Amino acid sequence: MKTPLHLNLLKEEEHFSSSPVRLRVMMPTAAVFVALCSIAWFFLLVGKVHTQAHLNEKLKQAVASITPVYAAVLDSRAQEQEYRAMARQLGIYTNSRILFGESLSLIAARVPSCIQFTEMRIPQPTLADPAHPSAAPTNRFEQVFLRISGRTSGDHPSEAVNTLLAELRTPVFTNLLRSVSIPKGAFRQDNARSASNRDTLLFEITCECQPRRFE
Amino acid sequence: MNLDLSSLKRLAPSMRWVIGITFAAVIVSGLVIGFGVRTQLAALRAVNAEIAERNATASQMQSDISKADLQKKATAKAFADLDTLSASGVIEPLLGSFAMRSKSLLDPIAQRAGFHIDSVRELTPITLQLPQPPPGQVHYRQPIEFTGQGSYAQITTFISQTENTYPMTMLSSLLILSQPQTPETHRAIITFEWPVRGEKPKGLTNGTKK
Amino acid sequence: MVLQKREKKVLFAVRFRCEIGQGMGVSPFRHLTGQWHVFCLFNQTMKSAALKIKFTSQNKSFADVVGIEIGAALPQGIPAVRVCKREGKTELVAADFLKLPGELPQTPEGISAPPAWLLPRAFQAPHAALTLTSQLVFLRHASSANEETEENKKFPYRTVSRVLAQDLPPLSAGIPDFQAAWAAHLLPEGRPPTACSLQVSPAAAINTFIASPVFGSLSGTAVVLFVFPRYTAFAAFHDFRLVLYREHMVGYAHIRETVSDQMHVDQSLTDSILSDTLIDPTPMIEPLLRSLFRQIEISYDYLTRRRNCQTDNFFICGLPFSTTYWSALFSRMLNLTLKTFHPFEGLERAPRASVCDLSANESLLMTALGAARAVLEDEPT
Repeated sequence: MKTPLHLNLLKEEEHFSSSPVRLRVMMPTAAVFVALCSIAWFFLLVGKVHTQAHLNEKLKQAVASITPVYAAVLDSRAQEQEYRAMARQLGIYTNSRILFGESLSLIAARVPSCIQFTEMRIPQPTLADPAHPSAAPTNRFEQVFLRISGRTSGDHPSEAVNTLLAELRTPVFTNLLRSVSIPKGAFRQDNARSASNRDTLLFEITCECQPRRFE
Repeated sequence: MNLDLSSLKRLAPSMRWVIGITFAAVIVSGLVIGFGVRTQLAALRAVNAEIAERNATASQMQSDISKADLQKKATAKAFADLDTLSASGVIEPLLGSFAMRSKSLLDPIAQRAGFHIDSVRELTPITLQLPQPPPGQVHYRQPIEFTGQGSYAQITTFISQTENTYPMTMLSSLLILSQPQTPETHRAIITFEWPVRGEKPKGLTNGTKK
Repeated sequence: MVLQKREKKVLFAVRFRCEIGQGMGVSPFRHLTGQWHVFCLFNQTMKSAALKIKFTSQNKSFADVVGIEIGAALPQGIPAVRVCKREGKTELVAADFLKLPGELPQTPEGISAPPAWLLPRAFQAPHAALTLTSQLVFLRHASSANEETEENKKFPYRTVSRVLAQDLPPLSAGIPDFQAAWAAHLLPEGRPPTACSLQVSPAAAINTFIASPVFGSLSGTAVVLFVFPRYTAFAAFHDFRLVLYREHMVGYAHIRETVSDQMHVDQSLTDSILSDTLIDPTPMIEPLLRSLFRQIEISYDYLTRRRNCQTDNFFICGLPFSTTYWSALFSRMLNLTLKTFHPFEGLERAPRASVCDLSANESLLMTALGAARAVLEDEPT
C-alpha cells in the first residue's frame, strides 16, 4: 500500500478558502450591510415622517382656513333642516285636521221633527302634561267622538230615532262619521219628568268620527 | 448559549474580529429596527392616517363649500315654505295672550255668523307629534275655548266659516246645550285649536339645534 | 572545546536517538554543525515552547494541487509544479520556476508581512502544497511521538510525528512557527490557490518516489538517496513502508564548491564538467563522495543488521548534473548499483500543459512535485 508521507504542518486556521465567497467574510459583511441598511432605513423614515408631518400641518392650516366658511355652510344646512322639520310638524298638524262645520250644518236638516237635541258634544282631546309641553305624544291617532243627546216623543219615537240614525249613516256624513250607534241603555224612557212626559224617550247617539291622524 | 471566553481567546484574532463585528452589527441592527424603525413606522402610519382623514375632511368641506350658493337657496326656500305655512295658521300671542289673539281673529266671523261670544280662554296646550328628525323649535296645539250663545245654525255657521277662513284652525271640542228658556238659542262652548310655536330651546340659534 | 555538563547530556541524547556510532560527529542537527553547542546554551535560558497545535487534517481528497517549494533560493525562481488527477491518472499540468517576491525569513526578529502571491494562471490550482527548504526545519526519527524537541528551546516550533509502524520509531517533522506562519500567509484567501498543506522538503521529496510507478513495482527493500544542496537524505523502504530515514551532511553544493574551487570555474561550468565525460572530476569529488558513501554504508549496514532488510535496489535523485561519477564510485565502494530515479517518470502531461525543460530542471522541481503528490495521493481521514 503506497501511503504517502504527508506530514502536514499547516494549522487549521491557516487553511484558507480560495472562494471569494467565504462565510467569514460574507457573514460580517452581510451583518454590517444589514446594520447600515437598517440605519439608512431609519433615517429615511425619519425624513418621511418629517415630510408627512409638514404636509399634515399644511393640511391642518388649509382646513382651518376654510373652517369658518364651512361652518357657515353647515349652519345654513342646519337651518334648512330645522325649517323643514318645523314645516313637517306643521304638515303633521295640517294632515290631522278634520272639518266639522259643514257636516254639523247638514245634521240640522236631517233631524226628524219629533226629535229634539238636548246636547251635542265633541269631547276634548287628551290634555298634555303641563310640566313637559314639548314632549310629543307617541300616539299618532286621536279618536274623536260626537255625542248627540236628545229626546223624542210622538207615535213612533223609535222610528224617528232610527230615521235619525239612518240619516247619520248616509254617505253625506261618511267623511266625518265612521260609525253611528246608540250605546246599550242609551235609549230609555224619560223618568225624570212628570206623568205627561212619560211618553218622551231619551236617547244618546254616539258617533265615532274619523280619527285625527298626526302623520 | 454557552459563552466560554476561553474558547473565544483560543480563536485567531481575525476570527474574533469577525465574530465581534457580526455580533455588534446584529445588535446595532436589532436596536435600530426595534427602537428606531418600528417607532418611526408607527409614527408614519399615524401621520398618514391623519393626513388621509384630513384629506377626506378637506375634500368634503370643499365639496360642501362649492355648493354654498345652492345651500343658501335651499335654506331660503325652506324658510319661505315655513313662513308661508306659518302665515296660513300659526298664531302668535297678542300681548302675551293667545286667547286675545284668537278672539281678535274670530270676532269678525262670529259677528258675521251671528254667534255671540261671551268669553274666551286659553286651555292647556297639547303636545304635537314630532317628525323625524325632530326640529329644535317645536309647535304645539293651543286650544282656545269660546263660550257664547246662538242658534244651531249660527253656531255651525261660525264653525264652518272659521274652518274655511283659517286653514290651520280646527274644532277641538264642542258642547252645545239647549236652553229650556230659549229653545232657539243654545249655549255653546266651542274650542278651536291652533298650532303655535313653542319657545326656542337653550343653545338653539336661528333654528339650529346643538 | 570544553563541553558543559548539560551540553554533554544533549549530545548523549542526540547520539541515543540517532543510534549511530561514536565519533562520527554526525548530528541530525545538520544546521548546527559546528554550532550545536549554541543551542545548548540557549537551552538553559530559553523556555521550551512546544506548541500544542491542531494541524489541518485531510477530510477530503484533492484532485488538483500545485506544489511550491519555498526557501530554495534558486536563481531561476521559485519551483512550482501543478498536478491533477483525472480519471484515476495523475497528469502534469504545469512545472516551472516562478518569479514571486519575498524571502523566507531565517530569524523571528523583524519579520515583515509576507507578500500576497498571485500565481500565473497555469498554476492556479484550487489548492497549494507548500514545502519549506530551510536550515531550521528538520525531519528525523523521534524516540516518541511527543518528545520535546531541542529546537523548541530557541523559538517555537511546529512539529508533527507519524508512527510508521509499531516496531519503528516515529518520524517527526518540524518547522519554526515564524517560518510556517509566514509561508502560510503567502497565498491569501479569496483566490486560488490557497495552502492546504505545509511540509518539510525532505518529506516532500520522498513522496516523489512513493508515488512513482518504480516504487509500486519494487518488492522487498529499496533505498533512495535524495541529494540536496547541503545534505543527502537516506530513505529506506521495506514492504512499501519507510523504515529508516537518515541525513548525511554532504550535498551536491559541496561537490560543486570543491570542483569550482579546485578548477577555478563558475557553477554553470562546474555542472557541465560534472555532467560531461571530457574531464574526469573523480579525483576532486572522490574524497567527499567517499565520506558520504561511508555514512550511507553505515546506514545500510544498520538496515541489514537491525532490520534484516537487504537489498540491491539503490536509487539516487536530485542531482542537477550527471550521476555517472556517483554511480561509479558507489558501485566501487559498496559493490552495489546506484540507479537514477526520475521524479517525473510516469507522469503524463495534461493537454496544453505548461512545462519547462524537465531534463535540465527535474532535480530542482523534485521537492515541489513531491509536495503536490503527497496531497494528491493522501486519502481522507
